[in-house]
Amino acid sequence: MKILPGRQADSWKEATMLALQEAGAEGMSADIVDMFASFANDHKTSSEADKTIGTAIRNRYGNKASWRVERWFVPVPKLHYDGKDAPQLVIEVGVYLVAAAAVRRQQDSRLITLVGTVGKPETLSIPMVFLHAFLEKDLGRFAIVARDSVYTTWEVPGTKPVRLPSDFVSELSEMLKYQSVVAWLGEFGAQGRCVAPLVAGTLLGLAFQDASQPVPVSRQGFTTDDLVSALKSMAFRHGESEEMVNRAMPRLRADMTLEEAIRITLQTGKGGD
Amino acid sequence: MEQQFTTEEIKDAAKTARVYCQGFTEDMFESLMEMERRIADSDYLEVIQGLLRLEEEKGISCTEALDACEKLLEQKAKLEKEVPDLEKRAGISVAQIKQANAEYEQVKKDVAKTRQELEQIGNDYVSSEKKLEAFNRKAEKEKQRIEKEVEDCYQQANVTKEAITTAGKVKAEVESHGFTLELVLDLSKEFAGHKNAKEKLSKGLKEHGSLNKYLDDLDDWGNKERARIMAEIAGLESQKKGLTNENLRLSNVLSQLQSDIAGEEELRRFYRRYAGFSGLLDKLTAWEHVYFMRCGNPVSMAAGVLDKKQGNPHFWTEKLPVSCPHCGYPITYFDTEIYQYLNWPAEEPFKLILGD
Repeated sequence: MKILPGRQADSWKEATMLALQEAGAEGMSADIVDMFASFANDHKTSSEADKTIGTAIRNRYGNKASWRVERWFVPVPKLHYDGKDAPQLVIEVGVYLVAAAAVRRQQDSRLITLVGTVGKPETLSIPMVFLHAFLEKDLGRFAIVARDSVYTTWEVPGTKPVRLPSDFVSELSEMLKYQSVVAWLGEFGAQGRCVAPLVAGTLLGLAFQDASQPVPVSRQGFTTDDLVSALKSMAFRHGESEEMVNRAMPRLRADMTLEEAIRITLQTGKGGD
Repeated sequence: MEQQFTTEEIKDAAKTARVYCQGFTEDMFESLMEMERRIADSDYLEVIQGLLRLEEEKGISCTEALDACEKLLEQKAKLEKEVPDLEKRAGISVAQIKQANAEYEQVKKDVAKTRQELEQIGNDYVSSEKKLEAFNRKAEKEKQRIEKEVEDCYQQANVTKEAITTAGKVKAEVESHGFTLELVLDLSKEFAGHKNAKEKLSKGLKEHGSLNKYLDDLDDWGNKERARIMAEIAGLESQKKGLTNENLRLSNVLSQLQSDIAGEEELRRFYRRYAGFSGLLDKLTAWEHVYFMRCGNPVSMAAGVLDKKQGNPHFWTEKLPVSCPHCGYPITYFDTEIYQYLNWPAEEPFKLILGD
């Protein structure tokens, strides 16, 4: 918990700005923070915050210090795109505590502001196939396997079950009614702009998946899995194939076609032997 | 995607897209970005809609739109030149149409008026035709009646057509001798009403010497005969008047007699009906007073409502009663109904007095 001198926040808006600054998420819009507000309204977080504040003040100003505090809980989401296996957008929501406190000791009193995370961050994993279906208003294709007053869980083939807060889904639906996914990601600030091309690309790939013409192997791109599968189809064992791919990795480039990658892997493998 | 991606970002996006869609290229991504940018522009959408409309309505494809536009503009300019002339013609046409409409309305009114007149004439014609038919029928009947009358006249005159024809011939013959038919008829009247006029004429001439003397004698005889008949008539009328007076007197006598008979019959009927009670009346006459009373018992009164026979009893006494002789009830009333028949006040004691 970071202790700043003086009263740095007098309102929710100022507290939000301070939390975003502390989290290194400047540029995130207030709408995004509001979108995750339900994550901060947790009784457990509140009691934990009281303990944290008490501990921090006593550590700094001694056990005899007394204080009055005004506090705000600001949810700060962090985005990242995970393209391994089933691509997904991962949102890690941490709750930042901003507390403006008046601390009194025997000899003096002072105003301070405490900033820091409380509780464990919550992770939302949204598979791209799920997001695509969500945009197409076709969530019905996934079976709902669990629901309570806060969360709904869908079964998405090829991934773990997707568990999302119902409030978040409603908010997302409202936000994406009038803007694109890229624009929405843009509201997350720099981190959103960072993942936007990958998310947009995946969504476009899914959108055009059925309409695309088959591409010859000579022009197909490759992934590690594709390469291992291709080697296995040439009667190499699985472990052997993985070893050959790892050995060839320094010479492989992501923009190579599958054909080129196979050729280089085989050449490297032969050279190694 | 309205945020601009860098070339590297586009490459990343396309590469990511190729995981699911092998044929996806950077060009496609850029095209999509361009399309999104354009779709965000409402003018662009309007242009697209316009082009689609052009293709649907005019069959002009997008590629030919510009040429078509030029042609249409030329056509528009040409048409605009024609507009003033057409407007002038339209004005004239409108005026003509208005005039034609006015004329048409006038003609319509005239036609309506003429139709009404024609209908009136038609009605008159039908009426006249009916009248004519009626008149013809009447004339026919009149003709038949006249013919019948003529026929009757013929029969009454005891002549036939042939006789009239002959009369015509006679007239011609008489006139040929210098006489008129009227003169001949006057001469014939002299002999009318006489049987065997010819013989009488010859006989009269023998007796009286001349026709005129014979006529004078006849006139005298006629006057005498007329005076005699008039005297006879006067006598008969006087006789008739006397008989009428006698008849009236006898009728009055008859009425008086019939009235007497009715009175006697009434008296007989009265006698037959009341003679048997004369003893009772004589007895009542002997009473100093007769009191017609009625019991005042309310029980009997109530019973009388349900059954008249069970009602309060009537009774006659010589003296005022102190109670009902029937049930002993102490209250009694005057029988006002009987006093009304007698036309006598109930408060005054009644004495029955019979006539002589």
